[in-house]
Amino acid sequence: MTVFHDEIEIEDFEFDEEEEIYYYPCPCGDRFQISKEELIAGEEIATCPSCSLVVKVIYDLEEFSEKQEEVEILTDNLKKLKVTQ
Amino acid sequence: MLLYSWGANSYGQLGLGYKSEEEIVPKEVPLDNSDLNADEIVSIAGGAGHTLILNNKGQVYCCGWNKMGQLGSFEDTLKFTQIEILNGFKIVHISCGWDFSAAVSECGKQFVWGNNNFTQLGLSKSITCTGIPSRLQVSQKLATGFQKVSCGLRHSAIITKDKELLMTGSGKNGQLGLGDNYDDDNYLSISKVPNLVDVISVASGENHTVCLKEDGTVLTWGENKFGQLGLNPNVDKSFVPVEVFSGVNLKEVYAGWTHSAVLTTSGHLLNWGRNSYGQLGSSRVSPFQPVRVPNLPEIEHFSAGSEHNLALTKDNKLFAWGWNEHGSCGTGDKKDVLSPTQIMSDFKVKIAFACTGSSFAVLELL
Repeated sequence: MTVFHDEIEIEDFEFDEEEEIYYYPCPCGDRFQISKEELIAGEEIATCPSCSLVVKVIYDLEEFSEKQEEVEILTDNLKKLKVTQ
Repeated sequence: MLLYSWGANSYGQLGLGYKSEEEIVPKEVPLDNSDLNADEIVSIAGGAGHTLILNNKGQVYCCGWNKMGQLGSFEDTLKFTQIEILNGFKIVHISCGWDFSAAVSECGKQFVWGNNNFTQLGLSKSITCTGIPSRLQVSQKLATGFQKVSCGLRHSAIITKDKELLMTGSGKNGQLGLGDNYDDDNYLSISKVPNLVDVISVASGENHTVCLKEDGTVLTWGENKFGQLGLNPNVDKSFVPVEVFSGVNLKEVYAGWTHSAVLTTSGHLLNWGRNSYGQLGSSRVSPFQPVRVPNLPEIEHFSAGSEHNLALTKDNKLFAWGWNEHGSCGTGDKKDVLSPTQIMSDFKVKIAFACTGSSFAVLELL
């Protein structure tokens, strides 16, 4: 069984829109990270690239996936709009 | 005197001139080509990946991570470099949050720089970050000057000239102590803790704040997941200051990420909070209850990193304990240090500082 350093709500992570990765500070000075893709796939463990600590991400998979789909539809629509212009 | 550093170095925060995963064995910081003199160092503070050094002339030096402008210097540097913008002021106090910095001058002005995404600098929400040390200006009603500041993960606590407390940054976990009267989306970014006077010491952790009043009362507020408030963790957080204990001769309070401590004038250290990596330096039945750290001689100076601690005894011996995965405890290995252990025993240590994941000591050979 994994021993979690902490359990952190997804809202407390900072989202990097370019990389599509969620980050939360790790006490070692680096950052715990988990990608949007991983979260949609149901992964809930964010890891730190510099140390052994891991945190559990608290989020609602269904709600999160729905929200991402919505964003995708909106982005697609926006692209279409730009093409028409 | 020499300056030594050890622990996490992913961003070059140890000032050694290079980045590395970590330095398990303490190393001398090269100061030959710098006008920083180890003898003159009075304070060292560090965030996730950056370090500030204050000397007795009131000058501030920086090195390490600069992504959010937390160095206060235009150029990134892996060696300690003076923050020139602060040159006109005699700085007497420094503090580092995760990716932001603060300095207070002798005349009571406060300068802030780095990340302001959570308004942790106290600047307006329209400023996401700044690499230029900016003077914090507040109305006369809030403060006529500043004395000390303690920066946490995403918030800061500032002691004013009138010994009141101003809070900036995220209040989501109650760490601002403003009760329900906080709003992270508010444009206003700085507030006074109501009905709190005679504050002499304050410390900010990951999501909590510890405060000491002149009369020896210790108050805490914010997150209590690990008992860091000194309360049973069945209370998960407090949005208002709670009096957790009081004592005579209490000198200063400290906060790691999720543990807290208080030092008495006679050199006794009491601590409480999370103990999963040996943060408290002894095994505890109820880690949330303040208890004197056993097996520790009288302490002159103490400091807490995120999960490790450094205590300097009155006879200049340095003791370390806590999380040690990056060698932050300076024991030369990576095993967590569960009780206070003397390190750097070949040296007479003048002063030492635990930063987030790194450590510094000013010392000379015995």
